[in-house]
Amino acid sequence: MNFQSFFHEKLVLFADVKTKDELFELMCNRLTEHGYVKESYLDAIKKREVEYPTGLKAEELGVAIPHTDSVHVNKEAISVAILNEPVTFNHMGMEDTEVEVKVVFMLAIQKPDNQLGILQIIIGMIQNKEVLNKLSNCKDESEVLAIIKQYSEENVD
Amino acid sequence: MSKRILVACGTAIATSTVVAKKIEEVLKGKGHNVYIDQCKASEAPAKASNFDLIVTTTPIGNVGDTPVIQTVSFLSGIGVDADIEKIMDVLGLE
Repeated sequence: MNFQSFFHEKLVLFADVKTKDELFELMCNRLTEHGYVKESYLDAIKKREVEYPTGLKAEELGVAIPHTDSVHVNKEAISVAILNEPVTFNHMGMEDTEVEVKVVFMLAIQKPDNQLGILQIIIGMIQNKEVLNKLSNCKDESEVLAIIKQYSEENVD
Repeated sequence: MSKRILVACGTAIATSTVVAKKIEEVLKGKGHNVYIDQCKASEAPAKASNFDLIVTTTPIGNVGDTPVIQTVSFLSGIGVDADIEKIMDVLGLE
């Protein structure tokens, strides 16, 4: 798995937002600014989240993995947001269930079959409460990337 | 003939990819080779009749007689063992 091609310091955010739409705008703007996604990505993410929510209640923390169809993606990348205060998401696959989300991985993915490794790393981190707790307490971008990098190196197939 | 499992999620981009791989690995570890395909939730009703089981992370429409297990355990990590048992039970695997 080529860590460097997916994660970038400029795509790590520490967000102080009240709603998930506000968060989506921040994250999508960052991705658009650096050319990773098309202008249409933001609307697509918002719509997709309404239809198929991506909030997940992990063991201790809430996480979300917003993503959408690959036609809106120019170049694959993953944006990470650590939220100062949790934001409410709807829970994946559970109607009327909400989850307070603290860590967000926004996935700009083109060919899922080729990206299995990176997706497994993301899901692996979601299932690892120590890693999630560490991420949620990070204070700077390089720290976030260092934790993800270490986890991915220790968990490569 | 190996059992056929259809894994569905919203966009067939992220979650079904991971869920499909996880199920394949766990069942392989128990000595069972299964055929797994993935699709968008909206495509599931049309594809259902060719499969022995549908595992989905999100509600899906009418899929006729094909059994459905809706779960996010393979993503959240909570309740995986129980779901694997359910899957094996539905497929008649031991």
